[in-house]
Amino acid sequence: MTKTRRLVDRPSFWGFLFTTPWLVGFVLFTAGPMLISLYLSFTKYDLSSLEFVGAKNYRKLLFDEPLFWKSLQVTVVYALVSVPLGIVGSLALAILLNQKVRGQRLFRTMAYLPSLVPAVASSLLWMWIYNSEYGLLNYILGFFGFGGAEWLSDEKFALWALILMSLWGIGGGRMVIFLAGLQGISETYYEAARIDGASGWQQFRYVTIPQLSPVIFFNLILGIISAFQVFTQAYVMTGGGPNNATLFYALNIFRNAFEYFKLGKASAMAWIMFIILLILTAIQFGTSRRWVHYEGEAKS
Amino acid sequence: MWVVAAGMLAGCNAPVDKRVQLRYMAWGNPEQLAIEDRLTEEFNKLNPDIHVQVFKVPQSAYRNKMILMFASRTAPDVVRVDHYDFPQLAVRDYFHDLDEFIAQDKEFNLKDYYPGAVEEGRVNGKIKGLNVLFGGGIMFYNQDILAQAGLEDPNALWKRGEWTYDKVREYAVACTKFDQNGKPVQFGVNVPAFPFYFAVVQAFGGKFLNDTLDKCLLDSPEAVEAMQYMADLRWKYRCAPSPAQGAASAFAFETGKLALEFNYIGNSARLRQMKVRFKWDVCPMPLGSRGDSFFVKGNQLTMYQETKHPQEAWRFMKFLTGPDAERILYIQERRQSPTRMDLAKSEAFLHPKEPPFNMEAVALTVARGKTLPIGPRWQETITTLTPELDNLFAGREKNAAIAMKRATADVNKNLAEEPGF
Repeated sequence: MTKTRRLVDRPSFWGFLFTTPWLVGFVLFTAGPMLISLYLSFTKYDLSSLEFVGAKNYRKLLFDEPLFWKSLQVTVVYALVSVPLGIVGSLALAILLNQKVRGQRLFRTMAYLPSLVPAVASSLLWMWIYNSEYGLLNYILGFFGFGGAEWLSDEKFALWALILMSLWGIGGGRMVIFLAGLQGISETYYEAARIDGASGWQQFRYVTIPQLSPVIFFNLILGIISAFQVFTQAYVMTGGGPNNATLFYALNIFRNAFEYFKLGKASAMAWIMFIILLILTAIQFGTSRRWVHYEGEAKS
Repeated sequence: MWVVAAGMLAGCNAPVDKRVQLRYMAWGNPEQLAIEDRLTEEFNKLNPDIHVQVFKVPQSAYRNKMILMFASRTAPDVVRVDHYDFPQLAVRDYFHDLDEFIAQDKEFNLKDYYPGAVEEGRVNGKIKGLNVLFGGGIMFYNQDILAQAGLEDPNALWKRGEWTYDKVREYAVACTKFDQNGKPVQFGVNVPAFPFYFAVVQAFGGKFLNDTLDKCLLDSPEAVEAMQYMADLRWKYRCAPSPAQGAASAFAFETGKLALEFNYIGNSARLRQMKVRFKWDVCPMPLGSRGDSFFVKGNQLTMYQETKHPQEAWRFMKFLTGPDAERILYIQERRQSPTRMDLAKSEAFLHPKEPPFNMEAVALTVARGKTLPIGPRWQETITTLTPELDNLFAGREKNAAIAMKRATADVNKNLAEEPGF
């Protein structure tokens, strides 16, 4: 008697069975739409007619579309400044909140609260803060004898105002991950360092940072991806202005897709963003070997 | 289990609703939606074979929801569409052609309606929408502020042909006040917002786009003069609030700190509801050096191309634009201006008991108003134009000729491109 070989063994069968709902959802709502958008990026699609145009959308974007480059530039500047600032801010806050002081839980809750405010609500709040006539920021600057500025309607300041606003979220999920990372560092490392005469700074530089490097790496990747997807703040607060100074890439995609009905072009923009993020993530993974340290990992 | 089974059996015995079910998609503030409900209930009572359900979507999400429903072929039978979006969607054949219904229906006559209202619903020679919530640009004025400044009623000036843009500026300067620290406490006028500046351009003899809507004309001397006039109200004469000064409605008309305001007549419903503590009325938009500034704009009531009940949908649309519904909308509730000429000329419309009292100005506006140059590429055209308009009205560029030259070049470059790319 010959045994028929199963395609999957019994435990795997049940595993696949239980993940099937997720797999179906993934194919229908993530992978499927992605593939369709890839196809659309090679078409001229305006919700009424569909025409295959080859790489024309990509050619036009790359060589004949100043606003594409402008929105990419705005987004890159935002990412380059806001991501490191946010990581440093979240790490600093996590270190503060990791101190064993009275009211530690209260402080942690307070630090986390701003990140619970919906993006639209916090955008409206910051519009008030930045108002050049009645805003809090200009009032404080005036109190110290500095002149104010038109933060959101001046081309020179608008993007920087949104970058500053991004720090509003430093006490959110990223800080919680840092906090968990800090609590996972064994006290024995610090003890050994102190016995060797290491100062506080040296302990931070040579114990905390290397031990936290996987967390920093994780936050860096997610931070850059999030920065490329910034939309709500610009949509609510500046509408991409003044003079396209805050025309973020995601806002530009939205406009092309849902305001101008240029869905082929918008799909091409989305795929260019995907490729950019893929390259950036690959670079980060490539360089991570030099600065990310995993516990128990042997380095030659 | 018994409960479920009993429920299923009860369901089997439930009477079958044989009425034709229609869905009507609309947006608005709570007051407007209450009227939509009231009108729909009225229609359902009068038409026992049909049941219309109002599908309400918040204004902030309305456009996206509507587009997605049309694109996914799940749109309701009747959809109210803002005119800014109407031509863009109409050319995609989402709307049923209404000419066949109009031709067959002896009770419905297009000649009952203002030409401007009919024209807005026409696309490539075919009627694709019926106008509702129709209105025009008008000027609101705070009678108390003008009286304190010793200024004559604008309506009296209008009757003498003296209500001009020069006069508006003169009034605005006279009504603007600053405190001891130089902070503004009262402004004369608001800078005409979009799309009011096109009306100002029109009064100065210019045009935004040519008749075929494929060429921008804002760099003409007349258009530049109009744009410079508006920018100067804010930056030269300082009689209109800057964007920052006007943020969060600090100098909105209802605060009583603004003497004159360019706005739609539809805004009067809000002022009545707020019961503002000052006397106010409306007057026509001013005369320019080369014409008037009358313009009209409404929403279109459209029938979804693939509705399964076109005849019933038409009956509902006819009801909403008929005399009974218009009487409720525009005479009882005064949401906007009637599209039916006989109602706009009726005693009840022209002589109300609450402000605004000068309804002649409203009737004049809708009778003589031109439609806005809104075509299928309106969204991208206006987005392309906005940065330079921002530069001018935010004071970054003081010279309108320079701003309009750049704006015109940008818009024309965009319009010259093949649509869809």
